[in-house]
Amino acid sequence: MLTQWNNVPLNGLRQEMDRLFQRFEYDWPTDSPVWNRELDGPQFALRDAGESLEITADVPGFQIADLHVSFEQGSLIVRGERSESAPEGYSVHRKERGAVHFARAFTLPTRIDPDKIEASLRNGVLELRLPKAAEERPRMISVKAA
Amino acid sequence: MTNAAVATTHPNQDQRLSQQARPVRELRPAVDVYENADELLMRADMPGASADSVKIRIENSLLTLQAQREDGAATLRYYRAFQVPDSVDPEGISAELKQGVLQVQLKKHERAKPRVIQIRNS
Repeated sequence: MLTQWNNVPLNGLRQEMDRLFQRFEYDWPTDSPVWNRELDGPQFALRDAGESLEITADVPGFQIADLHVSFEQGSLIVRGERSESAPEGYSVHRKERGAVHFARAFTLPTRIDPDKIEASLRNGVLELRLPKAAEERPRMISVKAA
Repeated sequence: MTNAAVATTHPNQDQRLSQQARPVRELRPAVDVYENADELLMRADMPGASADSVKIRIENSLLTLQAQREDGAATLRYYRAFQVPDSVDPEGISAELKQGVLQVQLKKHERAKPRVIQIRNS
């Protein structure tokens, strides 16, 4: 006699497996903001500060020479590379900080003045300030009594 | 281990409760650990952390690394704990923060350093 597929006892086992994997994913540490595990690059934050756009990226251990910022055809491009830096003559016990190579392109939400982009590196954080083009800056509109 | 169990045994719990005005988010920085004959060397990625917020403690061979970073309206706290071998001299710990990377050097006790024993011809 034929039995329907959804009656077989394996379904229970499969559900049990699903639960197990869900728990496994839940326990996995995903709280590190420093590297985006999927993209293998730093996390970026873009903020609208009114007169300018501000972008920050966590790039610990990067030197200025390891970072390249350019503005091409309306996109901001940030590239960086951090090489493996195991000290010489030491054995390795734990290696969580690997070599990093990333490139990110941003389409910006407003037009900016490319000549006035400022970039600085402080405490392992890359900070970019992109002043908006004059016509994009916030304007106060005064309300007149009619 | 459940999350509740972690929270109740957390060494910074009191401090956490007293800082409720400003939300604190805890982060687990990536860490490398190296060793040679003289020392253990650790490097932790802590971008944006201020040097004066770094706290390094060793107690009963439990080493904790902690640093803070102000991020807009929130405080981010980097935190890791490690069991270190008895060969580490608690008096011989030094650290520096450079480009958002905390480097900690843990010197070994003299008696724990490897010794080369010369074999003489007789």
